Amino acid sequence: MTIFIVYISRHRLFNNLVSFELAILELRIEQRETFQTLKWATILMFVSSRVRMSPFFNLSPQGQPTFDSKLSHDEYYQIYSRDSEIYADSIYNSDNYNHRELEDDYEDDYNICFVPSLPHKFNPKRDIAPFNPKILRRKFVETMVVQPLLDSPALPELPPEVFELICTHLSQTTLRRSVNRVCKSWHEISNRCISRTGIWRPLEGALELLLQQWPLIDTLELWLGQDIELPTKVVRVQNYMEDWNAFVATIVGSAASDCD
Amino acid sequence: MTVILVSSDNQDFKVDKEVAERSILIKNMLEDVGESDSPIPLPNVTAAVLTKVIEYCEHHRNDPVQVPEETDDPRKRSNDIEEWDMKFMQVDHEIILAANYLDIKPLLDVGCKTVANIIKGKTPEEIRKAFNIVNDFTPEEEAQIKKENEWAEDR
Repeated sequence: MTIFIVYISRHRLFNNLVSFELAILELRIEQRETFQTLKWATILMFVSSRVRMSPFFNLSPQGQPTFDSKLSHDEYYQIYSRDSEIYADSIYNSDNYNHRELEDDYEDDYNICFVPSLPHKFNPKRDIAPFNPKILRRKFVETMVVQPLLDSPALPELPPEVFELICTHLSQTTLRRSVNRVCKSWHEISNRCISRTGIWRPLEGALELLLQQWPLIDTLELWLGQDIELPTKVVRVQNYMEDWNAFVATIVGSAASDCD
Repeated sequence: MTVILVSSDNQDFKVDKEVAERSILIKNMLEDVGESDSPIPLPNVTAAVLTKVIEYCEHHRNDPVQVPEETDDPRKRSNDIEEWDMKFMQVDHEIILAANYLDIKPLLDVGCKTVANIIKGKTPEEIRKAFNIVNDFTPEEEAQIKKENEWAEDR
């Protein structure tokens, strides 16, 4: 008796989840379980043809195929996002090729989707022959490292003024989240390039908070009232410590007088 | 007119004065010495690095001299490195130190942009790995810095 062969493209191992992409390719039957699987797959294909989506089949833990409407194309880009590429170069440089190995796993992997040519009144019990599977081969995407790389990973001891110059080419986010946390010397130098804003609001507790942050801030945002609609004033003072100190004396004094 | 530059490992380099004067340090030295054939010693630059620096200066010999502008946005871009410069900087990062010593601002800029590009998008741990840096923070210090930066990011 000829029915279907169930082709399991190849397993994917990712995040400890094993999923099997399932595709039906040819007619032939081998055992009863396969026929059961086939029945499910046929029904799912029928449903998917109604909703005009390319079906992808996964096997549930019980062995029954499940329908996943999310294209694995999206999944691919989720896994291999641009962010991963940015981080990839350091991994290549540090003799860790795990990322590459993962990509290699996908090199000869296929996405198989079906474009069934079904008759108008399709009866899965009676008419299961005219499947016309279309195999879409996913192209292997080479990771492009767009940034220049230095040969040796060891950066020589840079004079502080040079490192400060490097910091001027980096965003505030990079400085805060990365450079500032690398080591003590980098922390000290990058701190000069990080802008920190304190807020002064005429609210209870705001002044105490501001005074705690005072040694770090270089910009002050003045809220002129409690109403958020009121315009704010941003004061940036870098080289006028006397003005800063005079100002803090003023606001501390005003707070004290307010309390009175 | 040519000048002779002597590297730290006592190798002589005969270069056009115009090319050598891309370095502000050499330019000032030549101005101080006046008309003289005496070689210029560069004790902080090895022959290998000096070769590369001269190559850079030769390539950029006709570039206009950069005038620093006070009104420049302090947050500079790092994605505007010329293709030739990008390939050039792949060779050796000691060029950055040489550019700093010889006071060749365009070369120093390219070097700094190159390092900045390497840093971008990396976590602190990845940066340490990339540049072979030891983390000398205590866990408490790390937590404190993280807290400070989170506070700043809330703004």
